This record gives sequence, structure tokens and C-alpha cells, in this order.
Amino acid sequence: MADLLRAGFARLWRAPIFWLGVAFTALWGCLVCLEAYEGGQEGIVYFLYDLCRYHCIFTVFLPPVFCALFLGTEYDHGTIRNKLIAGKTRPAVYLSSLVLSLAACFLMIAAYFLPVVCVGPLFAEGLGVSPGMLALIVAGELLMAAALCGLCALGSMLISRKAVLAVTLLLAVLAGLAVGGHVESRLAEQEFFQGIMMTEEGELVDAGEMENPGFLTGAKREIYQFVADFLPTGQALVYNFDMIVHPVAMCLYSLLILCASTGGGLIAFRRKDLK
Amino acid sequence: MEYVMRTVSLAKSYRHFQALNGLTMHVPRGAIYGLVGRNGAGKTTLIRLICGLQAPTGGHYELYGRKHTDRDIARSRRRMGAVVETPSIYLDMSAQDNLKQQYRVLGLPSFEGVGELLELVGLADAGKKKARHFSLGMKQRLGIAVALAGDPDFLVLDEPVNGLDPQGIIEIRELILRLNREKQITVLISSHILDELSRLATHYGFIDGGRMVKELSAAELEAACRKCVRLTVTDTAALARVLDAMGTEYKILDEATADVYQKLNVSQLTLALAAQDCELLDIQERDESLESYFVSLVGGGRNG
Repeated sequence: MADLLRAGFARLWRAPIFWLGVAFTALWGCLVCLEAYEGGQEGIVYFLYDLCRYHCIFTVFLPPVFCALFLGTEYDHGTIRNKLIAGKTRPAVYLSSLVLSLAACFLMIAAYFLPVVCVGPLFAEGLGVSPGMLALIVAGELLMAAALCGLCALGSMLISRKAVLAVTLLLAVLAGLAVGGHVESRLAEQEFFQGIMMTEEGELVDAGEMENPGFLTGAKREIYQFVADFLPTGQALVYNFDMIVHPVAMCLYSLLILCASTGGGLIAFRRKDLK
Repeated sequence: MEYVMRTVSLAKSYRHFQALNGLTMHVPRGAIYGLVGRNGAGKTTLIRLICGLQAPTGGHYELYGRKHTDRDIARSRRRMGAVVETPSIYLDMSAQDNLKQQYRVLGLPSFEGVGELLELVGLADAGKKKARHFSLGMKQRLGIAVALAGDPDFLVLDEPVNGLDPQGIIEIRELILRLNREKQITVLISSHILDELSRLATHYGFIDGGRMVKELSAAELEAACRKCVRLTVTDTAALARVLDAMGTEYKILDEATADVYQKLNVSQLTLALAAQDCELLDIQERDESLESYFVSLVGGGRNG
């Protein structure tokens, strides 16, 4: 597998899609720092904790775009055959592709963190959370990206048409974001809202606190919370909009998705008939 | 005879379609083995199987004496190179970078030999031009160069001249012949362009409906395709007596026809047959080509 990784990284360093991703995420990091600076001028307080979360909403698009354009090329140009004909095993081909997508996505995320870590502390009012919690959140974000990489690598190794792969991965992420967005909005509903009544004279008067019928409770809330915590796209929204309830569980779910998708992918790829 | 590759009752089915149906074949070391068959006969399926892209559903194959199920089959695969259908190359890389990439995949310690390979396939002057701007012939030659990385001694080419112009066909043919003669590389070529194949192959395998119909050497095929005169007579027994008396080489095909492999004096033959109460009904000069031999083997009814 070392040979495949050496070849893969040699190709990665020359891949425009990778450097485009790095440039985009670095620019996003700079913009977030600029926003913190401008916010500071207007009296809005930003913590480093906030700056470390604002990449999650676009991070979900990095693995599908990268996998579709970089890994998808292996099928599109037929070069995956060269590896197998040369005697490389299928697990080695699969795992090297996964490692490449993980490395590429982590490096793109690192490009975001570079300006945030270097310049962010100048504009942020401290960490905002304990160092341990900040480390846990950043680790969770990386694991969320890793889970997405696992799923996208699975798709890349099983779908042999590049166009179909790109559409499938992007639609899957958009669908995941739609589900995540719906779940987050339901979870964000307040238990009570302030009631207002209009008198016969047309005056608005305070009706006191009223129960929100849309507020989720009991098992239904737990299910919604699980979906938000489990789905990588749900996690992205949870991190981005600071709705973190179960940070450790989210890390574990991401690990579970990564392991399950890799295990399933290895089995399916081993059986796949390549053309 | 030492075989580079051998298949035994190899089978491959896709759901309800049987692409290979108990195919047995033998590729001798040093041969240019022409795999002949119409579209859908199973040529590409066979090549996909031996390249490890797909797994057989029955039977087995051996590469350099190792069964495909052996744990160390990868060692045999490292001794082979292949171009399956279209050349497998990165279109956004130059010819040189494509070769370097394959060298890395193979784990070769240096890029020594890249220039020599480019020279061999006639792409030494391609420079930094990206492969996507190459002509079909150049792509095909680059595909072969990639397959040759790591000095394999068994090269598998699936329809290597498909879509090429006459000049490209000649270039590929000369390249294959050079590889076989100068580097002693055993070559397996699948093709349905029989005329082209007949200029290269030292051995043939005729495949139809996923089965091997006939395997023979070029010399055997030449004998089978010999120029002859086909005679139709009323009595082949009489014809045999006359031809024996004339010392002529012949082959009786049925009760009325026979092939004669020497020039004939027709007047002399007619008179001799008349003396035996036999009439000469028809006379045809036959020059069986690989094409007609193939048609006679597998029949010419269906296609694809």
C-alpha cells in the first residue's frame, strides 16, 4: 500500500482541485477572521471557539467534491486497472484511496485553521470554552469530515461513472443537509413563547407564557437529537450553529460511520466486477 | 511446452448471461497469441479475468504456473502488463509523468528506463504535452508503454488497433513485433481485425460463445488455409485413383468434393476421369484466408 500512497500523494500535489480547495478554505479562514475584527469594532464579542466552528458548513462539501473529481478520475481514465493488473490488492487500492481523501480533506481544513490560529487570537476574546472542550470540538469536526470521507470513498470505489458519482455524492450531501436543517430547526424550537392577545379595542396585551405545541419532547426529541448527532451533515450544522449537546457521542458516531463504511466498502469493492 | 498462461474450463456469468462457458486455452512462452472472436464472443471478459479485474464464476486460470486463487498470484501479475479496451492513462499528465506514476505504483526505486520506454513506443518527442491532446495512436502507444513499465514478460492487449488509422495500425504492429522479437515478451492480443492479426500471430485461439473452438499455431493454420483447387465430381473414389496415379496431394471432403493442393492439367485430369467413368462437374480455385477459416469454424450467421 505504501507504493500506492506514494503514487497517490505525488498525484495529489499536482491536482488543481486540491489546491483550489486549499485556497478556498484558507480564504474562508481569512474572511472569518475579518468578520471577527469587524465584529469587535461594533462591540460584538467573538471567541476562538466561534472561529473554530465556522468552517463546518462548507467542510461537508469538501469530501464529495474531492472524491468525485480526484478519486473518480481513477475509473474515468481507467487507471485503477493499472494498479490491480500490477498486482496490488483490492483492499490496498481501497484503503489508499481512503487515506488520500482523508489527508486531502484534513489539509484543506488545516488551511482554514491556519489564519484562524495565527490571526484569530488577535480579534477573539479568549477561547470561550475550556481548552479541553475546544480540543474535543475540533477533534469532533475532524472526525465528522473523516466520516464523510469514509462515505464518499465508499461511493468513489463503487460507482464507476464519474458524472454519476459527482451527482450522487453532491445530492446525498444536500439531502443530508436538508434533513439536518429540518431536524435542527425542530430541536431549536422554544418550549414556551410569549403570548399576545388583541383586545376588542385593538390593543395588544401580554397573554403570558404559552406552551409551544411544536416543541419536541420525550422519545421524539431523543430521536431528533440522535439524527442531528449521528448524521455528519447534522453534526456540521450542530457545530456551525453551536447547538452541541453530546460532543463525545458525536465523535463516536463519526468513528462508527468511518469504520462501518470502510468495512462495508472493502467487502463490496472486493466483489465488484471492474471494467 | 511451457505456458505463460493457461485457463481450465474458465467460466464467467453476469446474472443470466454466460460470457465465458468453460473456456480452456494455452498461451506458450514467447508466442504472439491471437485471440480471435466476434463481438460478444468473450474476448474482453477473458482478459478482464486474467488481469484480476473480475473473478471467474467457474474453472480457473494460471499465470506462470500459479493458480488465480493462490495467495502469491500478485507475484505473477507483476510480470504482466495489459491494455484493456481503452489505454489506462491520466489524461491531465504528460507521457513522461504517466510513466513515472506507474513506476511509483509498481514501487520501482528510480525512474530509470522511462526515457527508454518513451523511445521504444515513439513518444520521446511528446515533451510536456498532456495526454488528453494526444492522437488515438499516441494514447494507445502510451497505454502500451505504461503496461511495459516494470519490464513485464507477458503483455495483454485488448483490441489494440481499434479505431486507429492505417499509419497507427502499422506503428502498433511494428511495436508488438519488436517487443516480441527483441525483448522476448509473450503477447496475447484479442482482435476481430483478422487480416491484421494474421500479420502478427504465431498462435491462434478461436473463441465463440464463451468457448474455445480451436487452438492452433500459425504453421497449422497456414496448412489449413492452403491454396487449393476444389473439385466436384460424380465419383470421388475414381478421382482418388486418378490423383494417386498422378502423384498429386489431395484431400477428399465428401462423396462429391475434394481439395487438390497442386497445380493441375485440367485436360489430362478430365480425360483420366472419363476413363474411370467419372465426370468433372465443377472446378474452383480456393485461397482460404484467416477470415474464411474463422467463418468456417464458428459460422457466419450471427454477429454481436
